[in-house]
Amino acid sequence: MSTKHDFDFWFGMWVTENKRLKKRLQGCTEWETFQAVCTAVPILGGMGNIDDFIAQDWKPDYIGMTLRLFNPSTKQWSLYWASNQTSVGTLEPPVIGAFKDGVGIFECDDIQEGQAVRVRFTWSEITANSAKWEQAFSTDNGATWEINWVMQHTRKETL
Amino acid sequence: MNLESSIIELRQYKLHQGQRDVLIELFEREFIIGQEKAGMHIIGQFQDLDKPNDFTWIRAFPNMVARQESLEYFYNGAVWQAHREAANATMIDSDNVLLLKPVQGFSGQEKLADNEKMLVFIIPVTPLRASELIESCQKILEPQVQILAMYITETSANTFPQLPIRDDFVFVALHE
Repeated sequence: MSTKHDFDFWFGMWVTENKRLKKRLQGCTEWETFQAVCTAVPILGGMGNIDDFIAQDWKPDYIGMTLRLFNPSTKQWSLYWASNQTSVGTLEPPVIGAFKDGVGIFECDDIQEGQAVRVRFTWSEITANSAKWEQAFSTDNGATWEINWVMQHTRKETL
Repeated sequence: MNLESSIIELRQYKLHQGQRDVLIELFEREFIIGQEKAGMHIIGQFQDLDKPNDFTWIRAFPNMVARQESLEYFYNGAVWQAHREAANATMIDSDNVLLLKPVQGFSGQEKLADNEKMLVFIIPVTPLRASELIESCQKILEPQVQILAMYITETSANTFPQLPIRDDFVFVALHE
């Protein structure tokens, strides 16, 4: 069951190896890979958190962020993505979900390039110093999924 | 202090106001012995005389394979896990890191006494022009100062990506 502490592991700085499908929902099998740095901090006295995503090698001026809010009555998280290059000025519709047995699954309906899709974020393989995030789209209401972005996070060291 | 090793990291940190002594105390109490036990050699740690919040240190490894093994051992180990939060809290920026190797054929005076002042001289250079630059620097510096070490960028892939390194190519001279 989810609690407001689900993302406590995420506080701090991370080095992120990205594997991103070049084209989505077109049977593409070509991936681009790049590194990013993420920094996460708690907000609202622990009822949420916020992080940024900076990938200099991928898009030098790109900054992404995620806002995560825990709803104690539904025991669900809402994850809102925003960036300075796509949908500027708005938070994108949240993916909503919870953790079960160490795996967090968060979903929403969205329109991608004119096509209705189900969007799924999966957080898994969480340890003190590593975690995996995946994004997948489905065009058949969740029967089949195409993973289009994988992030392997490793806690950043400083010394 | 011995400056002779095959792979060198020159690490230049920006710290929060007033935190340099805090980090140095922790560093000298825990991190030197912790890293030496993991197979690394701490060449020295330095206080920037002009910038009170700048802390620079140099560590060395026998080779890139040993570097990866030592870093994995140290950062997963008890010493770092126990003190990482305290160390991180002193730092603004720890990403200004140069991965270097000694200039071939240079036999400098590779010793530095405690509390000695040292000048670090970092020049960007294209890899193809590096040998020319090294020769010129050596000619200019050698009659005037004691050169302690000369390094150029090591271009091997960073096999421990949790610790970022700079991707520019430089020549570094350490002199008294």
